[in-house]
Amino acid sequence: MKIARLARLNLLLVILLIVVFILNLAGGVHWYAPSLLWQSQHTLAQQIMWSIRLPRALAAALVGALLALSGQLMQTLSKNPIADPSILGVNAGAMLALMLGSVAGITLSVINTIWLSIVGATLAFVVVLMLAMTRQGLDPLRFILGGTVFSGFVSCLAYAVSLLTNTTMQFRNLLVGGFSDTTFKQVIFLVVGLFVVTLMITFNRKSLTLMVFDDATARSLGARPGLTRAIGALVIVISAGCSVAVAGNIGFVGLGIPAIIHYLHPDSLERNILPNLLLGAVFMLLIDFVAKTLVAPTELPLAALSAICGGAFLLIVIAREGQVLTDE
Amino acid sequence: MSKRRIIGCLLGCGLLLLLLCVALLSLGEIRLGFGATLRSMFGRSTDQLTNLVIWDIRMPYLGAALITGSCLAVSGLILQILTGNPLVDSSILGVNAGASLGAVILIGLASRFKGLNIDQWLPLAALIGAVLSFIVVSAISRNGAKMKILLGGVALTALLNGIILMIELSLNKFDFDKILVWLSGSFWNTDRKFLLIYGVLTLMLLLVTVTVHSELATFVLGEPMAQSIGVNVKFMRYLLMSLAVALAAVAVSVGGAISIVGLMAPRIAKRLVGSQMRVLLPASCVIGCIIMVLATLVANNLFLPSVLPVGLVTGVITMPYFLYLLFKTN
Repeated sequence: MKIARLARLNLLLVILLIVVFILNLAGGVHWYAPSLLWQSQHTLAQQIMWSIRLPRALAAALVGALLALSGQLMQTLSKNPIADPSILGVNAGAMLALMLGSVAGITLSVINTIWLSIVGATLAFVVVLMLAMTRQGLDPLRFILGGTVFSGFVSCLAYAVSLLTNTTMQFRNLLVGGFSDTTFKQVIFLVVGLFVVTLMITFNRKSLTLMVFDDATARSLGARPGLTRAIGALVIVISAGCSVAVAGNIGFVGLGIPAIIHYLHPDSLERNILPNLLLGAVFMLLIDFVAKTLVAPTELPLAALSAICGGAFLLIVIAREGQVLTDE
Repeated sequence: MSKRRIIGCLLGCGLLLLLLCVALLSLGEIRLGFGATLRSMFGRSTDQLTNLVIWDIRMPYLGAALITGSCLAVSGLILQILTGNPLVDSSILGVNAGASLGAVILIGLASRFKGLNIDQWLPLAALIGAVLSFIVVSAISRNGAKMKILLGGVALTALLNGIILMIELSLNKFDFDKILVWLSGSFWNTDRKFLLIYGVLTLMLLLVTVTVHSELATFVLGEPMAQSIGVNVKFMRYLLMSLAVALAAVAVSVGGAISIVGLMAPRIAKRLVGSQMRVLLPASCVIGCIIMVLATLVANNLFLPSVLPVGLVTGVITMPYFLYLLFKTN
């Protein structure tokens, strides 16, 4: 019964994903029929579809999935429903690393952006974890508040760096988020990233699922909490780093998506990974579609759109079940 | 706290502030001697260039720093006392972001409707935004725990900043300097008349605060105690809240959404001079000014010839302090 429901949810999400994907391909400054992709005449429209629209839609889907995944893992590992790579400063860390790297003279090729942002994400995550650790373990409230303020701090530094070096134009996409210049090369790296991350999770899915319990219980059930946490953290920084490298600092996807999935289908981490990935992709494609069509030809900043959705979502969570948070 | 220590601290802070003010006026791309600066300040200088640099270029920055510093600090002090939460100020609660959004909406409207005068309506727009966001945060965190208020403010700030970013980017695609004014703060208008109006507004609001400082002090003991002493708690609460929100709105109109200065200044003041309201109030005001003047000094001089938005500097100075406080409590 439970499996059937999950299968139904997954099927529904896959259909939704296909619909939004086609919508995202078709929409833009001009509307094109997605069938142009395989029609044989070589027109400008076809070129646009292949070299601009398709990589963009693919990247949006992949980034959405990666962000949702890292959010889900963060929430499980910190045992706290309000966690997300953007709230906790991981995204901002990746962003700052990219800027500093480019100021230091590293050419921002696709490979360089990916490793720079993963390094930045890791550093930021370590700092926030250190801030949030108490003698009794991880304090969820410190985690969120400290992370948010740390994120603000790092963003301030990032803005300062880009203003001082006159590179705000160059980093516009990074600062406000967006998929406007996505190339196929980036898509390939995202696919590789998602593949690696999925492998890591699949091999550790049992012990990751056990992380909802406290360490002693998890250990007695056969998990190794320290190792599992390290693997989880690695997955988080790789996912967040890859997304920032391609799409800039997009927040709150990792916060809202796992929560919605949990609401629709409250189940273990293991079973909810697939619907979570799918919904993340659906959401990102939809938001990107809104960003490029709502006031075309101007493109709305993606970070702002997702922050509005996420901020509103967070407010509702706090207003309704904030007491759960503070009791912990 | 002994009386001698309090007086010493107040004098020390005052002197430091004066020193920083003179430094701000004399340092920059054109360096002036302290003597020349002082002579020009008191109108004794005949050197055209010195007078021009000091009065027309640097004085507006000083004025803006003093206005925002004192407004934010006093607003933070009132909010900390009213909420009984030492980790609160107008920026944490999302009031600054609300005021910013008000200002940004006004600017957006003014670009559509040519007749709209931004300077005239700015304070009102900022005030409306500040009041609305304050109401939202209070509603969400009604009788909630202290941390819940903080979280509500953080969430609201994220939401409002998203809207601000969207409106600003649709107005001017690449002008990040302008966007930063409303996201992290910058002295965006150094017109002397503009600043004069806000200076007068600030003075009036501070004057009202001073007249009710003894009632404010009773709130430290909790509302039941305040009531039993004979304070009209309900009225006074509304008055103080409006004061705090109005002060924040003034600060945002002048300097954008500057963060956490209002949290930091009263805390430092409390450590230095204790919690007697008639010294705490001026002390926090002075320390707020010190922080802002110092930040302006750094922003204008550290990376010459480029000038940083002051909000980025205050962010870098104050956020580590907030983290330190957050992790020291509990």
